[in-house]
Amino acid sequence: MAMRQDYCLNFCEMIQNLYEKYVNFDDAIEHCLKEEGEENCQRIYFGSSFCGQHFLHITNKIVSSLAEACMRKGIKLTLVIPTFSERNLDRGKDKIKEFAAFCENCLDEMTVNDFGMLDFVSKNYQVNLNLGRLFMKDYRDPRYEQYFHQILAPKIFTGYLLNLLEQYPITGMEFDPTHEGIDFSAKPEKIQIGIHLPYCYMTVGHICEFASIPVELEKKFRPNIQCQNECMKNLIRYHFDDEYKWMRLGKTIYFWNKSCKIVGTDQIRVIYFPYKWEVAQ
Amino acid sequence: MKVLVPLNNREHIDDYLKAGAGEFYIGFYDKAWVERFGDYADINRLTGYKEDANPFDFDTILEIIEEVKNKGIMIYVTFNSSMYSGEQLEFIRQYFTRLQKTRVDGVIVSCMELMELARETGVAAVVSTISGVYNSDIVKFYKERGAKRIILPRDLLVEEIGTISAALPDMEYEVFMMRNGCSFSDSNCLGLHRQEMCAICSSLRNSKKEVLTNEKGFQPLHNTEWNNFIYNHFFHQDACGLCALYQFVKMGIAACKIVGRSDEWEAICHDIAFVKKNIDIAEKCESEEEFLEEMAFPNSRKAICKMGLSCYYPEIRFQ
Repeated sequence: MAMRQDYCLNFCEMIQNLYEKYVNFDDAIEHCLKEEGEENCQRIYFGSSFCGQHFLHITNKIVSSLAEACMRKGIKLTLVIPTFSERNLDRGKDKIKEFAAFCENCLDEMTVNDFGMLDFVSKNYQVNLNLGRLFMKDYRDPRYEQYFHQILAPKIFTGYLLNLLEQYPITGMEFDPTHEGIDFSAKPEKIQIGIHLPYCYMTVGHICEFASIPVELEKKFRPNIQCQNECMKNLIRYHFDDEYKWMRLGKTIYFWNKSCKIVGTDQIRVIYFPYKWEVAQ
Repeated sequence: MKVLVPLNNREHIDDYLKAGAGEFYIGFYDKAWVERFGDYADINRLTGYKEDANPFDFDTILEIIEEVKNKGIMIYVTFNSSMYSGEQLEFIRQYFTRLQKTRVDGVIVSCMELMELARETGVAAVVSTISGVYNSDIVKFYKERGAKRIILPRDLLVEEIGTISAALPDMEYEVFMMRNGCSFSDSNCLGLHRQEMCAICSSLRNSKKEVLTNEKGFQPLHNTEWNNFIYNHFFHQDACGLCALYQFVKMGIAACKIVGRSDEWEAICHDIAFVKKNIDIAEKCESEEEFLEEMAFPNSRKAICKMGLSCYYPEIRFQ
């Protein structure tokens, strides 16, 4: 039996670029789908998996525009919430509240990336919850061929996870394409698996190289410094003499792994990140 | 505040103590684990460095625990690989069960699954920096589940550490102090740490790269490239947090950590001595200004005290 794939777009980490380029999100969505030869998109993810500063910089105007486009097209929204550093925690919670209000009619899901936010969101919002990609900590490292070329059985499917599912309204889990393939046969029955394609995140931190570009020397490379979205203007591509298209986008290092095989489940959400490594400059 | 030190050389325990070590942490290497789970499965974050970083087997660390406890010093055993499978957790249960019968002060754990296992086996749990406890909500979550101590990430500001420790004061906190800075987050850096290749941060620094910007003109590209040059050549070539000690002492931070489980014992002892000396100075000073005037600097001061680029907490000196 063929696996059912629900196609979703991931506008996290790039929503401002899309807004500036397309002016309205109807065009942005159409363009992203056309580029990948897809006709429909069931859901759009927005926010950030990796960066509190990026999340705080997303304006209500942009979110409002995205929500209106999604209402017109019948697309659902997932708000992705990063791990906020202490200084941004309260502002982050305020921002979540604003975004939830703007997207009231199409936001039915939130993705959290730490236990504190899991607890907070579950107590304050009536939405389905996903465990985000920062929860999935299987090592990934295509520099080691033998390690990379295997079918990974994710370690997170433990008894503790089952307890967590009883305590919180978790309905989904998001994975990165970490290996040649991933076997989800041990996943809990009610859990919807999402796979981020085509890039796998490998490492991230709270210190942003790009945010330091306009900063004087002795204040560079500090955690969570106030930025002006330098990540939207800059990119570093790394060449390791392999096929993995390594890049630094924002605080995060990714490698390309579009052909990750999925086994052990008959239904999956593809969460597609429409970033073009080749043309980005 | 105690100085927490990696115990990687059994013959020099007294040298560590003489230098000022107040607590130890230790890892181990187990061939039975490798045979069962393969060469890429980690017990702790440095398992890939084999005996270089984990020179002792499990039976030996049980002996070392007793030796250290007989000297009246605290000791923790580290289990800080990023995560473990169900089968691996059951294997670790055997270690915890045996540790519970010793006088070990706790296990350093990287995930909730190990927290739960520590609770079940009656061993105190210290939450590793691998858990990414970046804010007070996350501290609260771990506290409610029985954590004894939280090791705060090295990419937090001193101000944030102060806010967290004030918000939840009935918790022990530990901070990073010396050696081996990291440009990414310990909690979400998921490349392998092994002998064959350097960590991914070093691979990135040393690789061929294209720095790109979508802004036109010479200056924007120059600025991005210059920033990248500084990042690659000067940022966190080493790491030191001595200047923040006064604030940490006033906050009541329980311990500060010297990393370097694969480093030479003499170098570790040198750092212990400077950290201890500065804790003593901080405890006597009446203001941060006085401490910053009075504090002792390590011999590497000329190289590392430049523009805050090797500081864990640069905001203290370079405001």
